[in-house]
Amino acid sequence: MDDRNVILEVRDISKRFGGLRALDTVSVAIRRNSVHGIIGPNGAGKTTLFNLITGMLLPDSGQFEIEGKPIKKVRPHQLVSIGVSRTFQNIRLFKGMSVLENVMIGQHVHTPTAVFSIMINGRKSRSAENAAREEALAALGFVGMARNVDQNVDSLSYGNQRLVEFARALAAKPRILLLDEPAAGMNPTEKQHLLRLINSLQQKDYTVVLIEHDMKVVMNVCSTVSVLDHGKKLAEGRPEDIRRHPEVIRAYLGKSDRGHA
Amino acid sequence: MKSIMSRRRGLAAFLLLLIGYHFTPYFVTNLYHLHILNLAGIYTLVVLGLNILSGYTGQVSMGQAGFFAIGTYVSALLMMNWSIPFWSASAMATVMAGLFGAVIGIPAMKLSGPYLVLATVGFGEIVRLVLLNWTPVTKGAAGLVGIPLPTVLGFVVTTEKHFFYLILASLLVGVFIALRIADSKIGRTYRAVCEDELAAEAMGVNINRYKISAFIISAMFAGFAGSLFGSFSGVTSPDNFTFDESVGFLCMSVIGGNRSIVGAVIGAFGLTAVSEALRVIQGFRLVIYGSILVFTVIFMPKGIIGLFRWICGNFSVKEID
Amino acid sequence: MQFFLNGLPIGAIYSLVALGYSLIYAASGVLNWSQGDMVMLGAYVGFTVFFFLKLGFISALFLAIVVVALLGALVQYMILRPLREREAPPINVVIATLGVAIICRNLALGIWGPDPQILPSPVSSRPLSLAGVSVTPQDILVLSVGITLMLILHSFLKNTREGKALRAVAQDRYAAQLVGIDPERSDAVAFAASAGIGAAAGILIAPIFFVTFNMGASIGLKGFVAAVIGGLGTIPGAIAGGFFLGVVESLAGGLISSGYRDAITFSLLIVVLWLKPSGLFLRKNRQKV
Repeated sequence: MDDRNVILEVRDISKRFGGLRALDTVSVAIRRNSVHGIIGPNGAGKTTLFNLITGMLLPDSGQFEIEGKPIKKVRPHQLVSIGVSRTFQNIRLFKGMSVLENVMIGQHVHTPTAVFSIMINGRKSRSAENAAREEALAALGFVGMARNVDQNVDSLSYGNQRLVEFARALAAKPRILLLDEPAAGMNPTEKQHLLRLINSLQQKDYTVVLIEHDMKVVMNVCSTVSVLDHGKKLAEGRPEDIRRHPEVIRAYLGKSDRGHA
Repeated sequence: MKSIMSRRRGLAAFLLLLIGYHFTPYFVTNLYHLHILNLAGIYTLVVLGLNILSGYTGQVSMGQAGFFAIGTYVSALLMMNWSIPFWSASAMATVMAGLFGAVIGIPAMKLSGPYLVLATVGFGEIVRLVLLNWTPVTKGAAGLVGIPLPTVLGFVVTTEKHFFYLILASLLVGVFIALRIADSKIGRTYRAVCEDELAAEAMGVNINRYKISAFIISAMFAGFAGSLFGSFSGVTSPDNFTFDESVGFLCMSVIGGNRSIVGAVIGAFGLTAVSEALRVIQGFRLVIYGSILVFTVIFMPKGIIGLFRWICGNFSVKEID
Repeated sequence: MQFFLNGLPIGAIYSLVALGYSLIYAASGVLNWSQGDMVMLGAYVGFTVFFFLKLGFISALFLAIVVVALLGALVQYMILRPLREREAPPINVVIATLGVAIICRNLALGIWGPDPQILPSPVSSRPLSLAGVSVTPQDILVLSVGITLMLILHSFLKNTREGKALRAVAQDRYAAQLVGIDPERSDAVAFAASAGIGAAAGILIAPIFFVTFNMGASIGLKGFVAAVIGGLGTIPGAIAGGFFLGVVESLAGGLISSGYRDAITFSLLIVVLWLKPSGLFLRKNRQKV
């Protein structure tokens, strides 16, 4: 693989929780402008990998490189400036806030916090606020939620909450977008919509890493797939190869050979 | 965008009300009543800061009396010992309280729930006990006597009525600043930190910085209010800054409506008024006061402002549409 | 050594109050700010039984425990259950229990008046000298009754049906509900037990300190500090925290400065909170990400 084409390199990452090896010397190279799927049974270590990349957990060993630069001891909030943003498996929107406000938080690092100007309602603060609002509206427009901006996020359907979280992550203007089970809980129509969104992101020069259980989603959008099982990387390759990979089938279906994927 | 419009209208009405309040001395001629209004105004300044801290960032503080005390003593001592004019003393007191806010904000950022509450209680008690025991400087339990009056543009503020306007002006500025903080990126980020620290962090928010800044802001509000309080009262002692006082501030903030600047104002004036009105009953006055607190948090969980919004939401929106 | 010993009886009192905080916190997650006022009410009820009904110290102790325990259960059913049903935010619960404290304090003021009352000690208060240190029989009484109550509470939690249900609710409220335990009832048990041991603490200190309507504020706060230093929500933590606080206070007051005694205590508290929020005597539980 051409090294210059790798935007995020995960190198020999290990993480233990007590006696449990959540990740065991896992290496993954994510190519620029690709949609990279991470799949594996429950408890394989997929979300742990995301938590490690975003600095929410610290690895026991190994390191990450973004565009060839190692990132070490980066606090989670500094990752957005480096160009990484994420969504969560169990949707973590800011409850009691409107859709627009939620997405505007995504703009946090891109708008100045002019304390004095805020206090006197100065021009600087107003223009920053307007810019943040415009960006947030654009992100909401992109995911197709432009009509719900003033609604409270608590009142949205599950699928729409996922879309708002997606928009919030986009508003952070990442180069690398980490999506943790973006299609979970969505109905087939919503899934189709999501697939189109991810495809168009790829055309817009984003790199997307997604954890997904739904094989249909993975097969449809991913250019590369890595399979994790019990903290180890089992296989990696194009989706159509992965689907036929004997180890992968065994990991997913157990040792019995009654295969119905 | 409609919600923003109606919100603006509500705010405008509220500010008009505050300005209308400025005619109060013409019909409240009883000096005692005016005195109570002035006190309520000073308390409101403390509650404004506390509302930002406890309502917006969710960091419940039961130690605001500590910052209030620091404001009072620092400005009073500066004026008495070094003859520093009121406004400079007040500014220094505000900054000093803010520094203490940062000091207590540092351990506080690691804490939440009962632990944070207890840390703030501890802070408030430490301040009070130091004031009580550091006799050479603070005059101990006897407290300070003869705190100089403030001067505004060469004009010495002496009567209740003069103080009324000084406090009203401070209150207007305070409300404006608090509204700006609450209604801006800062307030939005505070709410996000309160709702979900992890998600806020993943969006690039430095949560420690925001949590400490809320402590500093609330401490500065309390510190400034304290400096007014000292000059307004003329005397002060550690008894003015007990745990009960901190509890009172918190009750005002919650009863008015936590996470609402307008609610903070309503809560501070409302509870002061209730407490004064109950004086008529004597005897079991505070029993009723306590019952009102319990009743309110059970039946009006979002405070007076919550009830207000609920009423507006049920009756007026249809008309506007 | 003398200061260390002096700290033990007051430490036992703090332990009893801290147990009340921890028991309620473990069961229902509520921080009960009226705990100190249960101590005060216990002292007053004991005082009334002793002087007006002319019953002995033991009956005063029992009656006070029963009356105040019932009051505790009443607080849970009348105030905390409706709050929980309405899913009130934690800060509202805090304000509600503060409201209860204000109500109790001022009811006591209305009933028993503002003058401090004193309950005579059932045993002699003349100090006994033993190997160079002096202890009063009252101190010994406080310690022995205090420790007995802790043992009773322990066996109540271990061996009775209600006690086991309470522990189950403390472990996992939802799961307890699934196996047929009524968590509201367990909360009421926790409130009653906490109020009861608080009342006992009130009677035990009544002969040492004066009984006043606002004595609950400071003793309640100290008990809370003890519970948190020991590790809020745990029984051994509360006991250890209480004795620890009693001894530290006695040492700080005796060796450093009596005026700054409480300031030292609170500074210690903030340092403990900062360095080890889960308490001094517990292994740290990592929060799950």
